[in-house]
Amino acid sequence: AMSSNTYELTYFPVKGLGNMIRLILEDQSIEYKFNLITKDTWAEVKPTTPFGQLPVLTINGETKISQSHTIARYLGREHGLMGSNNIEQAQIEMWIDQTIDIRMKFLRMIYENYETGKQPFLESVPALLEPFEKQLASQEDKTHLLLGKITLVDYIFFDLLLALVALSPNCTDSLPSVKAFYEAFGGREKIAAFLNRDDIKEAKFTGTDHL
Amino acid sequence: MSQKYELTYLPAKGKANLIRLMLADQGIPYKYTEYDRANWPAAKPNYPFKQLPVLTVDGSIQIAQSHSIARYLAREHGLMGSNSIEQAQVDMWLDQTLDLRNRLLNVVHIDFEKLLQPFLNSLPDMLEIFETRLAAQPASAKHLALGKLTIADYALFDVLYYLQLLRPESLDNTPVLKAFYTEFAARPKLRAYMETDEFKCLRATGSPHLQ
Repeated sequence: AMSSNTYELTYFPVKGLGNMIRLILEDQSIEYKFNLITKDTWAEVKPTTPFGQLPVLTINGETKISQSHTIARYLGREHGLMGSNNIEQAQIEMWIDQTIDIRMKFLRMIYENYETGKQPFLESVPALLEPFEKQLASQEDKTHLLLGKITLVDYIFFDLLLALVALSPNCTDSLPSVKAFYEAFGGREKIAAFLNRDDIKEAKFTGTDHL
Repeated sequence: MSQKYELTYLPAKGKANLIRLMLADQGIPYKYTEYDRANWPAAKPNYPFKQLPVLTVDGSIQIAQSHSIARYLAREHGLMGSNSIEQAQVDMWLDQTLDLRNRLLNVVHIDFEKLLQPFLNSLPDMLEIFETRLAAQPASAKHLALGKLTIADYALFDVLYYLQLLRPESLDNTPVLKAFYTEFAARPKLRAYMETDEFKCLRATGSPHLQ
């Protein structure tokens, strides 16, 4: 569904928690302005944000939405990616929440415990991704997680996999259905074009030197 | 007559508390079932992500992840705004509150000795966001979003409950939050639920650090 809203996405020059939002906007051909904040401009911008955090989505120049997954869920609702009823929406959201659990473990390791935590984390990845492998394996069409069509969780799960694969390129080798999903979704024309942009290729996954 | 909703959890307040407080306060009936540590492992495969809480709707539809359960019920019962932008505004406050709750639970469950002091050090800044927000609301409408009761208020009450369990003096420097907590706790159905033996005897978490 086309929206008449105008969107401005404000974020730092990292993939971080903003990348999944940009994947949605780009793949769905939603026009938006990207407002890049650097360390120099952040001090001035911070007090104008709802929680002193980025990303922020500004809708129609006035409404500011904070929290990356809230932004993603909002865009999902606006663009037909959240199912057709409250139950389907809840099911999409619960799978998204599952990706958030994994992402938070990943981020805690990267930011707080990289040296000793990296290997144990990588060893835990197959078990963490098991529900996704099982879900995709149960379907002939491995290009979408739920409802036989594209939903918001596909973007978010793909974005999580981008980070995991960057950490360890063969981490999906033992998960053939997840690997098939990753390759298929990454082959979507606008997704591939976006990820291939110089500025996006250069954007680190996190604010650390590790990734 | 079978209930529309069945909430399944372990013997603790934990991540189900928010949901149960809201259901009680709203007078929404539900069946509550509990696994104990002994019989849960065998039952795990019956649940979407082998985790609890799970909400079962109409006897068969399972919704996992406490945040998704809360959002689903909020949408069903008018606690999530009336349109997509309002839903995003409630959602971002819900996410912000749940961030705080998850940080607190991480301290308790992951490494209490190492994480407690950093958490307490960061608490004033985290609470300041809520204190400022509520202070800016009119006296008769001390709500986080939309100037009226939403699921975000229940989430705030829930996290403040846990904070005061952890450190009774947690709200001593945030008078508006303290007043919010006192007033919310006086809501008749909520107070009645919190005075039941079931509520009072249920330990807060499975950790010795927060009982």
